[in-house]
Amino acid sequence: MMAAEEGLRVLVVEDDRRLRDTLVDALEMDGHAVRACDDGEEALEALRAETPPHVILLDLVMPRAAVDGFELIRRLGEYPADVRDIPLVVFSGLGRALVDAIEPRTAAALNIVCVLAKPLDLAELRGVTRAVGRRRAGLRAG
Amino acid sequence: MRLLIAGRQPLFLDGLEALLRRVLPDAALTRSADDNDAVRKARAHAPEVAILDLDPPTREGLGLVSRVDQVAPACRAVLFLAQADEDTIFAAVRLGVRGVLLKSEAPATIVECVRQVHAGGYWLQRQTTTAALRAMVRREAGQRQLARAGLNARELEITQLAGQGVQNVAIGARLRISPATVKIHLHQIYRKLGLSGRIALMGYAREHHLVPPR
Repeated sequence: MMAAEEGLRVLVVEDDRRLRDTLVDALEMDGHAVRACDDGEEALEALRAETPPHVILLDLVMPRAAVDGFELIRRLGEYPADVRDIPLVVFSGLGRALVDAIEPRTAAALNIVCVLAKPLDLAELRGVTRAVGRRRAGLRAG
Repeated sequence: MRLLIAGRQPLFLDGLEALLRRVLPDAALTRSADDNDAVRKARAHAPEVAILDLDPPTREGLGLVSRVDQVAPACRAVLFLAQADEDTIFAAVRLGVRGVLLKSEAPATIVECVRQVHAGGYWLQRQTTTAALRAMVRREAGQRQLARAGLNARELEITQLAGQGVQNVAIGARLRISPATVKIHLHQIYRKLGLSGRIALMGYAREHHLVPPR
């Protein structure tokens, strides 16, 4: 039971500083160790150099980023399996257009475990992150 | 509301300006007839919404979105297009464009879009946006499955070409390798993907969205 609630390493990739800070605060309050990046390029560098996170929370639309969320997903495919297969929670302000675009089969292939619409419901996001932790604990126990 | 309208077709700008002045009489409206002037005016007036006529939607035209964003970061862009194709919509979404309008839209729709974008919302061509995003996601998912199967970069290239029906000689010419080497790679690909041969590979490529739809 304890294992299900243990903190995760979470990588947050979000270009909006205020939202990023809010996410970091909320996730840290839940006991997670959070690494925050404002750009996909910085995230890729972190994934190369640091211990891989258990989950990546990724904003897809980051117009000023050198590497946006779409490109980050593409680049992840070039990484070894321990990084490539990290679960992704993706979000954007595109609403239903994005939710409808990501079908179950493609989501599974890209390890997208959840698609959220902005403005983000913080409780939902925290719940999704906890669910990733429980799933991980379940896999380890199994 | 501070608005910027920009485009290269004076008649179209006249109509748009007249419409906006009539429906939004309190709006501070700035008008521009070329890209450099639009950037200058965006810097000077800090518009909240910029309506950019991109017809045709060239790379340079889409570049105007980034240029306006650089000088007026709080400005939300709305594009006017003659038609909404998936590539343009996907590029626009990645640039942070908030609204896409077709020139065939009714005036009331244009005003509604401007109001919604000004309020912080999106106004995109929903079906085309979904189709564009879906195509991108499917393509990436297909690529990822190939990577999981252990295909290397060269095998990925050959899979995409052979999957479209390109013959070994043409694949070799394109990749600057001999047809015999292409054949060796293909056998590795069949083995890794558990396929019986070329026809099966073409079916696999279609099913996994590795080749453009016909």
